Amino acid sequence: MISATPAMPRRSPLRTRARILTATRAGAALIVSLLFFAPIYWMILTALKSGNEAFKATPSLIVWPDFENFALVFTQSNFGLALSTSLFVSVTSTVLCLVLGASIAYPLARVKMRGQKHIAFWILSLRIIPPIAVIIPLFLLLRSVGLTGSIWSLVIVYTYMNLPLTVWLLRGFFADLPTEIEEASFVDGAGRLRTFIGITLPLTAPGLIATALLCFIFAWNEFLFANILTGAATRTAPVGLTEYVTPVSVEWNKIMAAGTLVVLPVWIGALAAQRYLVRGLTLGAVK
Amino acid sequence: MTAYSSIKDVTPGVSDGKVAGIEFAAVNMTFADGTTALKSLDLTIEEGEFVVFVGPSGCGKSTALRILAGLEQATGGTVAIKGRDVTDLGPQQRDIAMVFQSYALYPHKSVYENLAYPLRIRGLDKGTIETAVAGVADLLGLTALLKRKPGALSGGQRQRVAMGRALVRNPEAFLMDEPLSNLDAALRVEMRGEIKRLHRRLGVTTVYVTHDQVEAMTMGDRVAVLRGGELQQFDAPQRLYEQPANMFVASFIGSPAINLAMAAIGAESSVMTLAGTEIGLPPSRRPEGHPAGPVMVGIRPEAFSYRRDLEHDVSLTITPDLIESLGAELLVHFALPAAPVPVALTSSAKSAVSPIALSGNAAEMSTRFIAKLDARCAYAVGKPATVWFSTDHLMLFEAATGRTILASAPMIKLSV
Repeated sequence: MISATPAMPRRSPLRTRARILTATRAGAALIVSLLFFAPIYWMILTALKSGNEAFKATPSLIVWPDFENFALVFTQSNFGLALSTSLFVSVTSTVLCLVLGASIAYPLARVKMRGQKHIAFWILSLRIIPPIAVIIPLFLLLRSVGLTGSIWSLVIVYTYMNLPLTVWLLRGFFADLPTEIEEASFVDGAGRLRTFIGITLPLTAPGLIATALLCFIFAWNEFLFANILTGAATRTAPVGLTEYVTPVSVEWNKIMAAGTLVVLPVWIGALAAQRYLVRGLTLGAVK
Repeated sequence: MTAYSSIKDVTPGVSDGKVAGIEFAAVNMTFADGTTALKSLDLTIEEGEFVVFVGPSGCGKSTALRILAGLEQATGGTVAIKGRDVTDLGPQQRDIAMVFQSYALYPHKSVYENLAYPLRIRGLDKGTIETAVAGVADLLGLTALLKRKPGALSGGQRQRVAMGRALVRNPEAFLMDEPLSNLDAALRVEMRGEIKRLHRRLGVTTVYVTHDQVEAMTMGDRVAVLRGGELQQFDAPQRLYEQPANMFVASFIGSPAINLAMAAIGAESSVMTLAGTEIGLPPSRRPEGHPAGPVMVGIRPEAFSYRRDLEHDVSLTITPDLIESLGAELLVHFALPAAPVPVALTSSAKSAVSPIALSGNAAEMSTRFIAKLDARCAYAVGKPATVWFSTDHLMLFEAATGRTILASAPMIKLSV
């Protein structure tokens, strides 16, 4: 008869080390996440506090949610309009950026021509100029064509600001697509345009989505141009936030409620497109 | 001048009253960086023929195919498909189908959509497309895979889809750019046979590019050997093996490679001296009219025998320094006291012939030879032995140019 003694579970020093390493990593990740999440939590927390609660000298970290601030933001002020203006400006400039950017980036990536790299770098260098440096000339330009105070001035400026990065990113995505796939389509009988729409664009979709998200976030959060180029009726959401700062008081709870509303769409968008964002931004980096 | 001959004069692709499948006429290709990929390529491929372009990398074979496909614009010359000048047409207007080395399947489309794509572009109706795709899928055993995306297929299956996409629309010609190079050895042999069978069944003119001489020999009705952008020889595989036009073709075709060494022709062209041995040449091997002096001699490893018989009647005494067993045969390596041939004549890159080898003292030099012998021979490393060969299998090449000297070999236009 065979008798078996159960072996004593032994921990090898290697396994213990691996566990300690994992725990340290997880701890570090947690601390970094908390650091990043803290301001957002603070914002949402304040947004859910009543007026008096928000101004307490010792702020409470846990509150009974009160959604009144969100209602006030829409009823007392024109924040709804500001949000829709932001949405229109951001979406329109993003679409314009993608259409123009793709049509500039594709030839840069595919058609062989002299000085190609210099053109691409020149386009990117437009992005290096600090926005504050061009704001006065831009204001004067837009005033001379009567666009100051109009939504379209922001659409134009955001497209102009985002286009260089869009071209640069899309050029990389197009260049990474093997030419043989497009050549196969040519041999199969499709022309350049049909191949671009039917083969190239779908295959670079992760890159397009990532680029679109970056354009959208820039336009959505932009404050400097929006503050100077818009009027009372064409205010965007970030500019709308300043309405609650008056000479008499700073309405922190409303600012935070409006701020939460501003962050929400970007947050949802980034979450939904996370897969593409990561794939798009690492496309070409990892084959 | 008759009406017929006037047509012949102006229409490319018409030769002897028959329309050629594909015709390259004086095609040149120089890239923007100054690299010359093709030098005046003249080549006529018969309708329905399976032609293989073979050569070392950088020889221009892929460039020739891309020019034929319209993916590259030649810098000179004309290309005609079925008598129609397509030189200035895009790939869309040429009615050709191509299988790429990487297969170039559309990764976002299902197998069905990949196969249907060329037909959709032609605006065919749904029913016709379904029938055509089903037919090709059935032919290539893809029916069960139609809903899958290329990413979910094995290498062999992807290769089949790429073939299917080419087959689905009955093109004027199939172009294949190293289509089997991404497959493992066993699958490659299987697909080789399958492509050949498909060709026999469909009879469509096919141009196949490969760097693998075994693929070229086994698949091609005719094989075009290219080197440094120049056509070296365009012939049936057996002729390339038996009557190579020059030393490059001789050394490129055959495995193990042909043995080459310097030899000397005597005052009478009937006698040759190789490694100090005088060898009488049979009438078919005599370089008539060739002046006495150095020549290059080629002997295929398969031309050797370990015993004397009616055919193998010239002997060489050798000392094997390495013996490799292939099972049924042995590869016996030995050194022959003869000067080696200039590398420039056999290497893939073309350069001027080095005079060193020609003027060197043959007695002081030795050349590596390999004999493929029956495994029954009892040779041992380091033990002197005798090998026999037949003078009927000797190949002689001009010392300066590497061109064949034997009249029976095809003399094609060469600029060595």
